[in-house]
Amino acid sequence: MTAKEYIESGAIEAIVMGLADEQEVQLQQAMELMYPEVKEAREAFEESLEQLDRREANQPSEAANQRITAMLQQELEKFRQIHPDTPGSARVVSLVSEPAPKPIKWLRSALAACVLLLMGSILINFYYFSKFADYRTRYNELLTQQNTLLTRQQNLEAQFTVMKDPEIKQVRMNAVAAGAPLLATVYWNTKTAEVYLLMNNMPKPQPGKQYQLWAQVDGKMVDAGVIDPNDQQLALHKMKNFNEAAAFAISLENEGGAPEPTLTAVQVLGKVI
Amino acid sequence: MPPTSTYTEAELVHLLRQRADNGFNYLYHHYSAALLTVIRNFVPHSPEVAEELLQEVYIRVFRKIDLYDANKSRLYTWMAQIARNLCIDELRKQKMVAGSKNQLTESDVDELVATPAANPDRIGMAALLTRLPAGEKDALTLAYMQGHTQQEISELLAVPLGTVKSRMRNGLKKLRELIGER
Repeated sequence: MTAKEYIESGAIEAIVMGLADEQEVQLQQAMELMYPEVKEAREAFEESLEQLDRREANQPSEAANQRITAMLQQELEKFRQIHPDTPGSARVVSLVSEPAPKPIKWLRSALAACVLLLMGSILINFYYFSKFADYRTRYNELLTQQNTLLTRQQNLEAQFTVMKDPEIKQVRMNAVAAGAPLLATVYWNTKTAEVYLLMNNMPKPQPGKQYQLWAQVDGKMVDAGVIDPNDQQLALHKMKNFNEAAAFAISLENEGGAPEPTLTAVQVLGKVI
Repeated sequence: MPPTSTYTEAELVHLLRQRADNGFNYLYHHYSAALLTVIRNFVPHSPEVAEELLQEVYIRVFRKIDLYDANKSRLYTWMAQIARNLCIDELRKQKMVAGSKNQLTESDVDELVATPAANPDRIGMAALLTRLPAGEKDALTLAYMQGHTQQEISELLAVPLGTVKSRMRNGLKKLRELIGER
């Protein structure tokens, strides 16, 4: 699907109006990373909906204005009591005491004032240093996050290239147990026999267990490969090649996989249409 | 007192996260009318209930501001979504009090057959929905106004899931054109 086709499909409108499911939201985010015009189209629709809402003159009553702004003020005060270092709640604390009124002792008072100023200065330094340390940590976290996102973007681009190939047959594997929200998808290139697996919604297996993919060939379930539980995230896994398959399934086996599927442990199954 | 300065979205989000007075003051005065429009889509006949819901929207926005993700949507869209979810919950509560089960009730049907002539007080998105062809209007009304999933809509309207999906997509494309027309 090109960016243009995606933009024309109504998917963006569904996202903005809150009518999209988790998969559609993830696809939108992937498309926005790859195509800036998709992000622009989404923002343009958001703005047009905002303008639609503004077009009607629906001012709240004066009573509501006062009530709600008072409520917001209360929430702010509650918040600042719990978080006293909130920048908006700066309280001015006097660091310098009044000089002693006795003219004879003014030197001693001046000295006391200097000591207090020094202490104040030290406190401020501690404050700024901790802020600095905090920002430095946050900056490093952002860098790490950025790296993760870049890797993720590259993965998504690669997946997308595979998924949109016209030779690809998509086999949706739904949960065997009715109502369980499990989902995995096989992308099978019937020309090259390559099989890719996307673990859309499969819980991480317990330690010692591992998911295994099976292909049904001539009525028998043939091993198509195991999935590394630490690498399960939304990424395409390349499995074993198959020239023919009538169905695909995933079962939960002991670590290392099994020669034949444990039939009671089959999680999802999908027929090739 | 309405604030005199204006802020870019990024500046405003920063002020809100800092819990600055002027941030929330601006947020109220700049967006309350638009959010009230969203709410009145759902409760067109009760201005007092609408204003109570508006207050609840702002409480939630205050308490959840750290969850707002600027990469996913603009600030207004996020707040309008909070408002919509609140209205859907409120309408569900009212339905439960009225004792109806989870099937189409009379008021659902009224909602679905509403035409601009029959409901002149429909505004904003609710008004636009009434201008769609019947199948698309039903699907999108059940989804947008009542928060039903596609699966639930398929059961309520007794049509296949695939039909629900295509009706919603076609309806959304038409909505985009209708909005662009004005």
